[in-house]
Amino acid sequence: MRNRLREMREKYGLTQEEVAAHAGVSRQTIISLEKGKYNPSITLAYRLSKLFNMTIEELFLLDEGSRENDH
Amino acid sequence: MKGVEKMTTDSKKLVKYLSLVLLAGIAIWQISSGNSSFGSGLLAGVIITGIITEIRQRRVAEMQKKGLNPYDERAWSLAGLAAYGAVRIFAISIALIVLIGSIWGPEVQVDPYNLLGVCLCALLGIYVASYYYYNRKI
Repeated sequence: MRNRLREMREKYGLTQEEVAAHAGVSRQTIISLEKGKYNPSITLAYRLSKLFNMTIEELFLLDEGSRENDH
Repeated sequence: MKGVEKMTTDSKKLVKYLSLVLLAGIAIWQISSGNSSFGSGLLAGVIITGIITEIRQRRVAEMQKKGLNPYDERAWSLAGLAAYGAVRIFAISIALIVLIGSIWGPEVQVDPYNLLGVCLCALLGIYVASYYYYNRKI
């Protein structure tokens, strides 16, 4: 799953730590999300999309045909 | 709700410290009873665990002060993957040791308590290694 987290974070001028504090997770989770290594839960995806005034589908993009759902 | 959480955290801390004190007491009793190798090993373990616990708690408190959650969903996800990986590696390793040892290995007398201790250490070691592996991976 791809996402626009880094792009939006930089657009809003936020640090990874600020985003993490807002979402109630660790900075490492934000780093993993930005690298596309970790797929968030629906709750976290919702919190992050709310932070950037977006819908979940706008922030997180599911690659068509991708069945990668390991984590 | 925060009060309840705080109380739970304090209770957990108290249980942790009481366990360490109890183990230190057992270690000192064992040293004084002449079982110095076991007692000093246990005492060293208690001291190292106490120091690591204290450092970890300070780091967690610092993170929580910043509004960060060190026990977030990724940490739970990692713990689950690490536990699954550790059990798999442990079970396969033990099965191989039993199989090879039963066929070619010599017959040995072992102290069951030592064996359980070694197995526990091996399982925990594999779990820690597995956690670090997945932490780098995801």
